Amino acid sequence: MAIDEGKLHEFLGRFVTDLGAVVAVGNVVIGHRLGLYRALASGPATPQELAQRTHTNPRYVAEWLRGQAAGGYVAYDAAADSYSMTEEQAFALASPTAPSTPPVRSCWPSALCGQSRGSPRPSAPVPAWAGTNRTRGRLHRLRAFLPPRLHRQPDPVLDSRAGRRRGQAAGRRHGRGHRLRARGVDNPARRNTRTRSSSARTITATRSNWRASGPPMLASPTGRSSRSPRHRRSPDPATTSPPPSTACMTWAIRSQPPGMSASPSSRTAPDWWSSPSRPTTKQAT
Amino acid sequence: MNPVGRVYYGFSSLLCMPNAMSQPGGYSLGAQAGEAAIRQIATEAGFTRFRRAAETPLNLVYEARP
Repeated sequence: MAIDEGKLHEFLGRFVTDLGAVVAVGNVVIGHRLGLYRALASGPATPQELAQRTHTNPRYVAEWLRGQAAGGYVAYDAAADSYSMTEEQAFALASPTAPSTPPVRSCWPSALCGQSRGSPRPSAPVPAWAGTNRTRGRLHRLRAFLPPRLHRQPDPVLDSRAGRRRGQAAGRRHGRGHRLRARGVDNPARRNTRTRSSSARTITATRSNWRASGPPMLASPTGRSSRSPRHRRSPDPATTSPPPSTACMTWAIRSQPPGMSASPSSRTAPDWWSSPSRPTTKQAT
Repeated sequence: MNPVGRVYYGFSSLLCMPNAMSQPGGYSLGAQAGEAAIRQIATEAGFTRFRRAAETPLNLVYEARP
């Protein structure tokens, strides 16, 4: 069986492109959370200038910019040794209504950094990254790792005889529509008798129980102690937080004045490492 | 710049740089250091002859001699 070398390379190229996209996600999140995209959208900059604008480590910013340019997320002017964003790139990545903002702000940071909330404010010191963890995230995220049986707790309205009758009369026995109908939501007189959804109450109760006695399933009556890693959490999210992402921590040097480097090794580094262009790099265009 | 370069820059930002910056030595080359940086390292280390011996889409091969 002969392998067509052209087709093989084409396929490998596709794989490498996908791999590059996977790695790019982490850097996109970093760009969002540290404000690198927004700062670069305000005008062309060398890595040093962008690092000063965002109070970040210039060496990291240089590497980040090169990767962004390699992915076509920012434009690189080899003559001026500076990076910039086109109107389209700025709109897609840096504007407040950017289509990339919702996924970046809600999902990706959790998946990559173990943090779901707490975009650092421009003036925030490094500890702003600490103390945010998944348990303080949005409801749907918390719900996602609640044990399934806690999703459905006895509901005084739904489980009453009248509620069951109304639900059955509506022909549905499951789902939100069923619960709403069982409460008589379609009847204005009964509307707003319950302001919070059962899932929100469940989450609130779970969260307070959690603070008091640890993750819910760990204290399950069946005595099951081994659970899937997805459900394993620190016992008290209010006081203990997972170690913040090292990559993010070292990127931001907000507690220090711009220009100061966080690590002594980078202060003694030679000049060429911060040079934005490496003319003889193999991938140089 | 080919897609491989993008992959390497991505890993470089997230893995190589934090690793290098956390260690003493003063060099944080990254995964895509390029010939100029490698040449300077080799020269500072005492090699007098340095050249790019071979090149593939994935790799550069340097020859350094005392």
